[in-house]
Amino acid sequence: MEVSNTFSEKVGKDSTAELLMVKELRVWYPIRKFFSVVGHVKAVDGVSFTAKRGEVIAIVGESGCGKTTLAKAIMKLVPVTGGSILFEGIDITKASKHVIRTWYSRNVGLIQQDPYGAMPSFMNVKTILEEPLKIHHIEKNERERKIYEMLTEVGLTPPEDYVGKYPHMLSGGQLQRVAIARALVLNPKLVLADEPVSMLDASLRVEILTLFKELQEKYGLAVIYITHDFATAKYFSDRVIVMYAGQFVEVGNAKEVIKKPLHPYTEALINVIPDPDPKNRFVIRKTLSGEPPNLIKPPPGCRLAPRCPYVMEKCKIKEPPNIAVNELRLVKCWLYES
Amino acid sequence: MSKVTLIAKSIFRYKSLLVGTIIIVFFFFMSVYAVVLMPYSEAVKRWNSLDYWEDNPKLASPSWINLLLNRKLPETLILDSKYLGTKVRQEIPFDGGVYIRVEIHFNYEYDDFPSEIILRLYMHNVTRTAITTLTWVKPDGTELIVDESSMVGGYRYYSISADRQFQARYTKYITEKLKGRPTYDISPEIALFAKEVSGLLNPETKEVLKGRYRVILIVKSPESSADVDVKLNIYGKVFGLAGTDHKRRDLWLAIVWGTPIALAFGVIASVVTVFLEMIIAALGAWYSGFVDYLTQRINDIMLVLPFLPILVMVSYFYRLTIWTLLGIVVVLSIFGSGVKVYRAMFLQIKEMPYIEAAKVYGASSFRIVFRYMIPKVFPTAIPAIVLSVPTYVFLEASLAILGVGDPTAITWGRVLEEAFSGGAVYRGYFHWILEPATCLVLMTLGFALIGFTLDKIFNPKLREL
Repeated sequence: MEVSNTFSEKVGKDSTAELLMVKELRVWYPIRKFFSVVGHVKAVDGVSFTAKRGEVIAIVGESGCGKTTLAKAIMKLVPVTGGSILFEGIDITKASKHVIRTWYSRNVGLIQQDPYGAMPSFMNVKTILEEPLKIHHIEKNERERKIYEMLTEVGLTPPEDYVGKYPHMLSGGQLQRVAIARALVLNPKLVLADEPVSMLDASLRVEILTLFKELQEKYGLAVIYITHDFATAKYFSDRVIVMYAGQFVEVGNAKEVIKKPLHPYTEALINVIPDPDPKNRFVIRKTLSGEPPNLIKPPPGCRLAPRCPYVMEKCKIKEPPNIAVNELRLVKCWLYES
Repeated sequence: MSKVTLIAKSIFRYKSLLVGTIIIVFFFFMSVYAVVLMPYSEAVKRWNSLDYWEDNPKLASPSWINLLLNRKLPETLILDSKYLGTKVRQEIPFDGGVYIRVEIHFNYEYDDFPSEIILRLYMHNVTRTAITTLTWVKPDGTELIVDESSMVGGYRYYSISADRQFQARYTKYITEKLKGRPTYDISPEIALFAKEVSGLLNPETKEVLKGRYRVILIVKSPESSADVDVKLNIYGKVFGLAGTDHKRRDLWLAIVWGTPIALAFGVIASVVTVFLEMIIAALGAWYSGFVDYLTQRINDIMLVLPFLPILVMVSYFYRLTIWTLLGIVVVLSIFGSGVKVYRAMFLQIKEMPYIEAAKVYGASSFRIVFRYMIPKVFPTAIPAIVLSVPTYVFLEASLAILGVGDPTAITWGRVLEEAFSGGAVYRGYFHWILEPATCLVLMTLGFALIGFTLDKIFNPKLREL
């Protein structure tokens, strides 16, 4: 589908530029008591990264570490407190509503965690897929063609059998396929997948991820894949970002990070991956004690300091910088200060 | 196709839905019949006219009551000398002038006395006084001179039922004939149709004399060009399909035309109210902040304002038609508990992932409210709409009983109100009250049956185990 998209052509001609640049992004949720703000939940606190065209980045972290908030901020679903998000050179945190609605929304797609909640129950598959196209004023014949094409692409064949179905008539896997079709129907350049397979049966996960990977390669999509599961991140992504308490703690090539985690938190995360090797059945794994910090009042130094097995005096006082171990690897830990 | 079969299936699966649908379909066809019968303006004109109904009996029961009784109640007889009877003219020699003898025959085979007898005399081409004599001949040959009087002018309305002189004369006559005083006032319509036997003296044993009656009117006019027409109305005790009220109006008209009005009033009020409630709640929930605050505070105020006194007050200041009444009812009921209920639902819906997805692919706020949020609550709103229809139909009726509303409109409520003020219950005119009341109850029942069943279908949590 060749959608004439003059605005994006104007701004996005420079294809060597990074597709998405996030700089020092902060998303703080205010806490209100009566009429005054008494504090903030620092869900995302100063994160920076870039995504190239066609690159798959996995953001890994435990529940409540801010990865979904980060995704929502990129999707303009939550107000940003500070920093900037540049998409094709345009700062979308400052862009007008009109630009977001007509241009940005066309270039990004979202795949959500819960396929049942992600579909309006009163619309059939055809209407669900038609809505984004309608909103972006694509003419009727083209819409029809695109819907059938997308349904075929995501493996719901023959499409005629599915267009009239309502969400309750489809299984979770089929719904997630529809969700992928909906995210891709506008030919976006960036897709955010927020734990797309965590609610599916284990047997379906690989199938859906394989399909998604194929489509990603075919369309050259940049994907930000949010997960708490290193196993799928390794399978799926080029780069991994490990997030803890609203900050990035480690960035690097997916395979390297998993093979040789540098940050104590990454190490702990990888240690809890179930290991099917019977030789290791008596090995006692190192896990972190304690709870993630309160994001209203995070610890003054390193945020992992209260739980870290390698904690030093310095860690409790001063926040570690991002230390580049090699050109692709960043670690936010005093252990690697050279 | 599949939707149609699905609806048909659920109708037959739930008997209550079937019964409710039959009732509402019946009322729907009644409405169509009303519209086909005559336009509303014509119906209102007739309903509020007195002349139109002059040949109907007052407070007559419906005709089919005869099927249930072993006595046959009389129908109305309209005897017009223009169309029946014989007229003989005889010139008066020497003095000039004319005698006109009009004779009307009719059969009376009913088991009860008529309710009222009225004679109308129309004289043509006269300027001077004429003398009229009305003679009543019973089937057994008894002749009664009912009235002898002079008549000036062209028209005379003579209510025989109200003729006290005749009543007194007859009482005297019957006392002499039967050698005993009657124990009650023998009214003229009894006098003219009774068997003159001793049973007549007691109200319980009086009997109708069946057979062929003759009514003879002799007019003596000094002008030979004079002519006369007579119309004798012997009003019965049954009329039509629905009977009549105190103004001789055919209640069938009110029942028939009351149906589309009740349906339209109830359906429009409930649909508009529920939709506006949903829209207000959805806008408040979606935009939150000031919009939400404003609508909720207005809502809180409207919640505590008394509905009925405001309506009564408005009706005192302005002349309400049924449609302005509808407007006021809608305005007063859009803010209410419904807005709160829907707002609570929308606050939940607003946070659903599919709304988030819609925002991401660029849906406008307007689209999200109307295309994504409101349809989500339809399953709960549709039974609510159906169930609130009878509420508004009843409201209209209760307002009519309170005297609020359109005095010219033909509604079941107004018929009830007139029956109520006419003392229908203790005077025994049950049809006057039971007909509109039955219609109201049936309509309520129909909508309630459908509404509760739809609630069961749309909201399966309530489904019986």
